[in-house]
Amino acid sequence: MAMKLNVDLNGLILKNPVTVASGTYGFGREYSEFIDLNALGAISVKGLTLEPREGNEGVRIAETPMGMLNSVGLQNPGVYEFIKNEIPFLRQFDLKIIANINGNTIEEYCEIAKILDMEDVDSIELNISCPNVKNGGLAFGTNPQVVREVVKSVRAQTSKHLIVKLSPNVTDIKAIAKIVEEEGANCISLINTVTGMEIDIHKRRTVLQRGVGGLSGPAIKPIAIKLVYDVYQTVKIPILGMGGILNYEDAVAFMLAGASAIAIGTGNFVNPNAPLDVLEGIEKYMKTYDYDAVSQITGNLKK
Amino acid sequence: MKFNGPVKIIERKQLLQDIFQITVERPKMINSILPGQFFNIVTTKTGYPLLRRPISVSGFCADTIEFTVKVLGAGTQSLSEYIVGDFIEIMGPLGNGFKQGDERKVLMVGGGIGIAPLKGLIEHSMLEGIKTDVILGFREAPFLVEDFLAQTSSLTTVSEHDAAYRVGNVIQPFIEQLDTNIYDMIYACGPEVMLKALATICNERKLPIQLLMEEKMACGIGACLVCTCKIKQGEFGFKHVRMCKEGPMFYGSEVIFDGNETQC
Repeated sequence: MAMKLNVDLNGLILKNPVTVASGTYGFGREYSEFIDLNALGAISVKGLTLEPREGNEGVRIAETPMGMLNSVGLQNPGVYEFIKNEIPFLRQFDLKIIANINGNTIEEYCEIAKILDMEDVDSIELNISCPNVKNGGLAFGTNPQVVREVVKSVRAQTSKHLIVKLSPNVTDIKAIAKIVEEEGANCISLINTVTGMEIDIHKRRTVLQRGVGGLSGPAIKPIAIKLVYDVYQTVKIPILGMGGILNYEDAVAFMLAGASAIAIGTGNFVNPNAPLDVLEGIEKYMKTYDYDAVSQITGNLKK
Repeated sequence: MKFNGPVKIIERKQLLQDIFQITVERPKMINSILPGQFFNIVTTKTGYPLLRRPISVSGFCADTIEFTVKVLGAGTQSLSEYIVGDFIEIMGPLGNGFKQGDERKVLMVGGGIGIAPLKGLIEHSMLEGIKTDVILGFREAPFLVEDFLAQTSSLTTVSEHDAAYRVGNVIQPFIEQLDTNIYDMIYACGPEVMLKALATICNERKLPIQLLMEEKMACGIGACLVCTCKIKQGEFGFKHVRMCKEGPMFYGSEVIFDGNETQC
């Protein structure tokens, strides 16, 4: 019997649970020279803002033990350029388009959501967890009251499938997840990067010009799995899990912790073929452990 | 599709204590390589360090690709431990290399490990018949000098610390060459401080110079935006372009150096 690989993220149906994380894949163009994008369940595109942004100055990367810090700062061509050039490009492929959106103010988040509501995207991912910008981003995602306000306001602007991307840099992620669910999000994605810093002891300066960056890669995987597990215990809406996934074993661990689908981010840099390898591995795992549907893995931890 | 996969190491040479050269079999699907392009290479069998390392080609022919590498950290250290017969994972060729047109006389200026891609350039068949002067600068002992001597009769070698050579850096001989020659193009690769100094001189004299630049990278293909080059746009504006995709070659007239140039 054929195994069922499709997953339903509460209104967003993916043909398989393997997606790629925002900020690691651009708009798919570059990776399309190395991998067949038709293999992806979805792409979450580079974080969009209303206007084009040039991003942060100076050094934007520091490699760390089994991970990397980035300080890109939402460099992107703006939502209008995305609509004009990138949506038509991505529509050539059989995959869902998730538009990751960012703003300096709640009004900006609303404006961009309103614009995308009329465009050909399958889902909007509200990024309230970017650590690399002065205003917005993380400042929104760590304060429960502000989270409520921004999710409620954006929800009112769009009938599209809405994902809210959570930060690990909070005291009580369950409280935040609960609020996100109450305010009408369809799905929760987590985790965004963990804030971090590296110092060059010879220059006596932080490696990143901005000082702080977002840590990604296998270094954060146990943090991410634990937070996925916590959120799965708390809410009923599905979870798109991510944080350091390199291979199918990592992906299955996220699903057992409660993720319905997973995203590969930094893993793409190491292995551009990772989405295909992970999907193949998941299928093998399903065969070995007699799963008929990939959705049966979600939360299927033994007590 | 571009190439991403394992290639076999068929030759390995130790040039200096911290500089080595590996030659790999060139996969059939790679039709074209340009001097100055690079490959993003998995440096380890253990998974650590995590990220690939972008390494310029220092030479290539129909069957082989050659990389000349300086050990600078954990990635290049583990790459140095591979031996003939091993396979390494490479993806590429990536980026925009040197641009070549109908130049008749050119100057190449290399500093340190930055001479490696210039070796690929000077050996490239398109340079046949082009008169090429070369200035190579080193901190300590020189390397690859014989490879350049095989291609040019005008080679100046300087070393900051090795008194067997002209002592100093490349700037003085560079000015001397510019004062006595007319070049259609100047090609340079080396430390950022050197590239900045050369670009400043060329900009003042309105001479075209191609700089092969460097930045720490992650994806290497233009998706992650962690490697940037700040270039001029309009009269006062700037924009961040991708070192790995729009670069690593930029003209000296377009780069904005930010004052935090690295020394090596």
